Amino acid sequence: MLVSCGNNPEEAAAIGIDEALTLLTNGKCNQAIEVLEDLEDQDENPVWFKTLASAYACKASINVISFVDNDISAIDESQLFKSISILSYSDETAVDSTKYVGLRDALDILGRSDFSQATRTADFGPRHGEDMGVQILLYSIIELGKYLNWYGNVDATGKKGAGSNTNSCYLNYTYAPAIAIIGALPASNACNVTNDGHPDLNGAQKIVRVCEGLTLMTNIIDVLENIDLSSSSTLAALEDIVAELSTYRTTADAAGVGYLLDVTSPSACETLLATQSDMDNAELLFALVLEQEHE
Amino acid sequence: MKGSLLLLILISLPAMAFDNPYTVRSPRALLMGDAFTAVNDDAFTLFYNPATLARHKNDFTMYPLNGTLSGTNILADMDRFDDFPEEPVAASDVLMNFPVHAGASTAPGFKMFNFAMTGIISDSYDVLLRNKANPTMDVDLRSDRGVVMGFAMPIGPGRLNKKSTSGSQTSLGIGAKYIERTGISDQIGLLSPTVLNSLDQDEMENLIKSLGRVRGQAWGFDAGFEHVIRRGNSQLVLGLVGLDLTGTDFKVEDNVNKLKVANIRDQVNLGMAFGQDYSAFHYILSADIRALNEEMDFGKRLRAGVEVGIPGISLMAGMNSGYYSYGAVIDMGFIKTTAGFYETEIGSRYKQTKSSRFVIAVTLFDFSFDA
Repeated sequence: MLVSCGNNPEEAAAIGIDEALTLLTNGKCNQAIEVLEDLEDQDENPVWFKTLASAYACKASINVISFVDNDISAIDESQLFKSISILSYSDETAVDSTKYVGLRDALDILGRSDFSQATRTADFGPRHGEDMGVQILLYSIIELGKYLNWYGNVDATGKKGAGSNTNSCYLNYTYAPAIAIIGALPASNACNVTNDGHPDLNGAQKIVRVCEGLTLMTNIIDVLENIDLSSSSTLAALEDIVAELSTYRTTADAAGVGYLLDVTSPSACETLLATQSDMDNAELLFALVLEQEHE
Repeated sequence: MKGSLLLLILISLPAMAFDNPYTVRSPRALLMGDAFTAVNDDAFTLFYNPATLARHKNDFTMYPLNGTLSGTNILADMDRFDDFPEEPVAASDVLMNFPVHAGASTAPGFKMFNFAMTGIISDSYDVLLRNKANPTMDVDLRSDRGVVMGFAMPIGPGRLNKKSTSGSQTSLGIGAKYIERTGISDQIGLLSPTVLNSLDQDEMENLIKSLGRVRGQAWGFDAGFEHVIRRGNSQLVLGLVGLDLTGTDFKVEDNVNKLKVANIRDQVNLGMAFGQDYSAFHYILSADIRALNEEMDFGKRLRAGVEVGIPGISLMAGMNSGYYSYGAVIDMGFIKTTAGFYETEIGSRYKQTKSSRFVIAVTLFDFSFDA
């Protein structure tokens, strides 16, 4: 009875998570990651997923309280992408910055293998499954802001193509229906040629980065369609985004590319877009949604 | 070999997460740094070491009415609350890493010879918000109802009674308890739908309900050993106890969210106390090494306490895992009031997360008699 028996896995997890939460509170992100990644067999522990993801978000210097307090009210559903591209965490000065990658890693951890809110709720119950969903939602909005800011080459007002880079569009367009959409954009939209996409989005990493943008949007849609936030005075404003996004879905469905808005896993997306016809449809979706809706 | 084993126990790392979710604590003990295993002579004996019942000084002692209130000592961190924001999310930023505690308990009971029974009625609420990258609330809400019984028996040749001025006594004690615990122990996001829904509730009762709660039942068992040496006005006590042997685990009905209440971990504690009692003055020095069966930072195991007093008033001070406590007991015969401040470690590491608290307790109409 006197022998110090060691901790069973459940106790070890509780200790590790407790220690990591204190480290994160003190801004020691890497130490927290080290503690959490040393824990074994945590595949069924939602708190471990949430804490580890937040440790990577910590590396991205994210303060969620500040974001909710200052930024959610700044999202304007009538200019959705423009407003998201200039939120307080959106500013990006390099492709795949440390902060962008940190948040992307956080989302990969939270998404697990299938990036489905229904699966999260089924696996962990509504309480923790929806908690993870809100974390994904907020991180995805922040990450989408960075994505739009960098690849959209926005200025301080969120105007596309007016930033310090040279591109006026997100993608270079080669698929005829997409080219037709670009050709029909109004003069107020900076994107009026088909070969002026962001170089970082059209190079060797094109599929990966197109999928990053696409799945940021689809995960926002997935969470908002599956979690009811309407009763929360703090997050109810995000419900307004759903209405706007549903119009994008209608547009995408009409063009025959709505199925892409159901792809929430980046790896599944990359597999899909390796097929040229699906890549063409992704081009069309970018033209219909990002180019058309972001001026 | 034994020395090596003890050394291994004392230096092993790391600690358990969270403070052990005890049912009831002695307010006097809390103000003595919780170094109470070998002091343990008040109404809360069964919560520290049942073997102490063997040195019960009277045939019968009744503790009919007592109540203890404890809470966060905001005086210890007043600067934090300057210009406290009204908006909940901004307010949560201020409350980051600030342990919030509130507790109320009563433990009426009696001791008859070497047997004791004590009721458990205790409510405790602890919340800690951490991690700005995903604000997470540690929530431990507990409402305990139950009873604990214990018995002690002297062993060996030595015997002490209240008139003994010299001698020694070794005793063994056992205790059993049944507790119904209602509440929840969880780590949940501040911005989760569950918590946001709770924060929008107007009534405290509804807020707690909407955080989710379940009910569990558990039996727990304790066993202790105590050796007392008395010489004139001096007394030395050594105590060793296993509390909640193999853990007091609450059985909760299956639920979709896998909600649970906090289980009480088993804990092996070693304590020593030395005191002298003159008619006009007394003092006690005590020390505990706690949780010998757990992996823990050594400093987190240590407790030390002191009590000095004259008839009617005693002053206490102590150190608990490196944190201080102090207070006083005013004894007016039929009413006894204990009050003070104490700090306790609620994290898994030594000096990880300090919780500063106050405690105030009143006992009424304690009495003893001999047949």
